[in-house]
Amino acid sequence: MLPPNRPADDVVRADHGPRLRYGDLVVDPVAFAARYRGKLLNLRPNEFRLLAFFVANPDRVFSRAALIESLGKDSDLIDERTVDVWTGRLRRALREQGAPDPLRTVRAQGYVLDSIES
Amino acid sequence: MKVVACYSVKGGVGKSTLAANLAWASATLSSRSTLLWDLDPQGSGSYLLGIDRPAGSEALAVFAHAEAARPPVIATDWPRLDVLPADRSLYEAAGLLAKLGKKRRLARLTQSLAGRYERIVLDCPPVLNELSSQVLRAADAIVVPLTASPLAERGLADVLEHLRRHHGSHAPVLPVFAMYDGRRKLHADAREAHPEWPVVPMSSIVERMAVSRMPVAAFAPGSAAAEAIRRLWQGIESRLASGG
Repeated sequence: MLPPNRPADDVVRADHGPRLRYGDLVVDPVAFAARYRGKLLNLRPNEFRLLAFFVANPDRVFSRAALIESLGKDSDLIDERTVDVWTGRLRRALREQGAPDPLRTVRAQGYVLDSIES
Repeated sequence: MKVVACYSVKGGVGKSTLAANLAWASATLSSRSTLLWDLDPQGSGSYLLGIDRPAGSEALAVFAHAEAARPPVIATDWPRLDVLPADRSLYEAAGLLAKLGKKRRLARLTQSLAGRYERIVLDCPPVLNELSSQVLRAADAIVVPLTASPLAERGLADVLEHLRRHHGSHAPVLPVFAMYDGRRKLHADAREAHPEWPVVPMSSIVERMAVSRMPVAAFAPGSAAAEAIRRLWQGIESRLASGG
């Protein structure tokens, strides 16, 4: 039996795979595209990977090392500034389309995406 | 591990564009773990691979030690391709290296990264000083981009003269006609004089790299410029591989 009325920020199964929703933000890993209120975000691959990872794992603080691993890179080799570079670009891309900044920097810990209160 | 230096005494000849494209080709076409080490304080090579110039002075701090234990490398969008970005502190690099008096500091540093990278592409600023000397000493191949004009040959002559005077035996020098436009008579004439030098055509696609901030082959894989980069890299790679 299908569950009634999925919450908006839950995973929605479309024909072609999972789509992640976060408020007005929709992330489609299959199409490698993210939209805010229907407007396509101008994201490079690493920015997209980070956004998809955060939206799939809200309310958890991730260390920079963990986020480097989420990009498919080796955190022993890559400097932690990588994360700041790519989150900076992600925030800029969101801002360009008028989206609020969903990321919270936790000093000395990393980054977290706070879930939206319903 | 092999080091490829992109070097020119003249600025504005497409040196950083070439360095970024060659680093991408190494990582993508040859599947080599590759580092683009951006030594030009303007940071164009890093910029073209999507990495903004950092505000700090970590780029210069790398030279303080004989080994690069944990260099501040940034991962790019492409597998196997990292960037050690430039920042403004590199304007002091030549002075620092001269003061240290370690003529092989950069060569030691690149060697210390041999366990992590198979290819290191150095984007060197258009200068003749202690930094460029160290770049030429560290290199296994020296790619010299030239505009196809009589003036370019003078730039190449300066590089060769510098190598003769200061480096004795040095890595092979590979001149490349960058920004080549076959419709211009001067360009065609210059090419005719050196038909053996590889050519990377000047095109709007190459110029668009600065907007897309991706290597040519990543956003225009079928273009003549992408094909030229592929051929150029294959030539460099086969030379490096046969060198052991």
